[in-house]
Amino acid sequence: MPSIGDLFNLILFDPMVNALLLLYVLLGHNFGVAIVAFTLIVRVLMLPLTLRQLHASRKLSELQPKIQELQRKYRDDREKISRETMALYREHGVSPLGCLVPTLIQFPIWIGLYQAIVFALSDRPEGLLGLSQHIYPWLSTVHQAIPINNRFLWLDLAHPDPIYILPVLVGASTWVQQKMMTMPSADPQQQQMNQMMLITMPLMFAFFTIQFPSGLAIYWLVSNLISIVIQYFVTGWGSLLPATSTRPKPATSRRK
Amino acid sequence: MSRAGLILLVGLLGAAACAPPGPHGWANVAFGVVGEGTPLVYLVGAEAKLFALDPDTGQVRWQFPSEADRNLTAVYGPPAVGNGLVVVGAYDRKVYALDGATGSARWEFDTGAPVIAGPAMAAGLVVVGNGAGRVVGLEASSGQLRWEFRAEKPLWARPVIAGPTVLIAGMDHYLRALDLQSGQLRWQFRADGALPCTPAVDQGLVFFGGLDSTIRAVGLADGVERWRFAVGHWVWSSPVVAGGTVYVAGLDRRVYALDAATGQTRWVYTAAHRVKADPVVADGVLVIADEGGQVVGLRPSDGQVLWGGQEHNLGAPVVGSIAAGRGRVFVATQNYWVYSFDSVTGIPKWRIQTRK
Repeated sequence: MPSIGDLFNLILFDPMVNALLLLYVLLGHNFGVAIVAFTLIVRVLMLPLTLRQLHASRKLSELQPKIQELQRKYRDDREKISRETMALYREHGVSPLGCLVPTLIQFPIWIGLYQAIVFALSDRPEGLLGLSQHIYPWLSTVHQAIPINNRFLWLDLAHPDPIYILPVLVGASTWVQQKMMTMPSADPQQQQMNQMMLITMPLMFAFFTIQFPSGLAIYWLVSNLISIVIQYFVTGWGSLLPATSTRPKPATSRRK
Repeated sequence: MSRAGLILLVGLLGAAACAPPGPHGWANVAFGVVGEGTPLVYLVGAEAKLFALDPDTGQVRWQFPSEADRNLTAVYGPPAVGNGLVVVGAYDRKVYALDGATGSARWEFDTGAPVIAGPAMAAGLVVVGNGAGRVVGLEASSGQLRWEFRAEKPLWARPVIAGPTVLIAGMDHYLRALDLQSGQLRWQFRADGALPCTPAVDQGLVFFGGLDSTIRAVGLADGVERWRFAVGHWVWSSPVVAGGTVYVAGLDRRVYALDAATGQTRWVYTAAHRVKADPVVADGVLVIADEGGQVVGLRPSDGQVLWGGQEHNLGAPVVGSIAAGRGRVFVATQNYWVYSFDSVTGIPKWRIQTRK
């Protein structure tokens, strides 16, 4: 019986590794371009999940004032708060799991994608020996293209950016995305948490970018830029430009 | 779960999933006679240290570096033994030459990039390639640079010295023949895939495999292909030639015995796991070891298993070279054990662990 690891490899990791390497062959043996193209394809495939998550998140945020009112009204009865909150969700057709489930589904995809990039970029023998177990035997063009050319712009994609431009770009794009996602809140506790996230997330990803291969940072940067574009079309600039924030035409008018 | 918790979880999972592998190195063994006829087994363990062992007892004579808290970062290739020296190339970019009998340092040379390939030594020269495609010819006595040659991509295969020629297999798909004394290119042959394994030379032919899943024979004098043989997966194990037969193991779990002159199949043996370790012919027995740690002795004429039972299952991957000498084979695993077996009967002789 196959293990969870075997199934993960069969369903996610192996197809991703082979697709990434095939893109490398098709796009002129440029692995940086292959990562950009691969990120675009994966994000397009995940678009329905992303949109569902964003809409669920927006609806929840819109209900925040009413939930806070319920919390004030029934402050001594936790059970009542819970019941009334659920009734409010039902009334507006919102599920609290609406933004959690799409996020959870994306986890293994992200991990598979990260691993695919790291494995394909490996410039050490054990990495290549490990990769050999995941390349489809019938993709002879891919076998012949190994080891891949790791050079892209000023970067060796298997190593961190030596001049720290990517950590700055990844940190800045994470901040912009995070700022757009943050919904205004009257709750001081929520405000504090938002502030914390706005500082820790960009710093965390900038730190990862300093530590990990720059190929992975390219993925993070492109992924952030795509998220910013999607976010703009769903919720506008959000908290980034609150005074002028106007949401463009909803992209999901067909949704329930 | 709060949004903050979710995102932090993503970060942690991402960090765990993305930790770049290695460098860990591979355990390799070489056998040599140095000094006044003292035979020693040289083990480069997965802990990136070089050990000299007594072939009869496994007792450690010396280790390099001798300090407990120092190592060579990672070592992937076996050491070269000769001229009273043992020479090892390391991921820390350097080539180290030591007195083969005592382990005292003679010289070291910084190649400028991690050394993946092991060195070769003959005619007073040490030849080694590095991860940046640089090949250097060094004076064995002093470590002085005699010549250098640049390939287009990393060199992961140990050079082979055949008379006045040194053969270099490269990850740029090229097998090159250089003049041993000057480093001048004599000829080059382009394969369809990268070449991470060391070629073998016999009767004027060079045998090698690569990531194009093909075993080839080319002429030593002219580099012209004589025959090729397609296998099921990459070949990352160095061929060994004996009695007119070339034995090659592949990552398709098979060991192929091919007629050295024609490439015709004589027999095929299927191992339990992938075979990355270089096989060896010792006292008329072909010894192989797979990634599952199973060691097997085969009859070279027909591939029949002579020995290879439960006592030969080492329980950890074997990916480096196997050595033979004094009627024994020496096999090292990735979990810091080295084993000695009688090469004819397979009877275990001793085993030691170099790191707990």
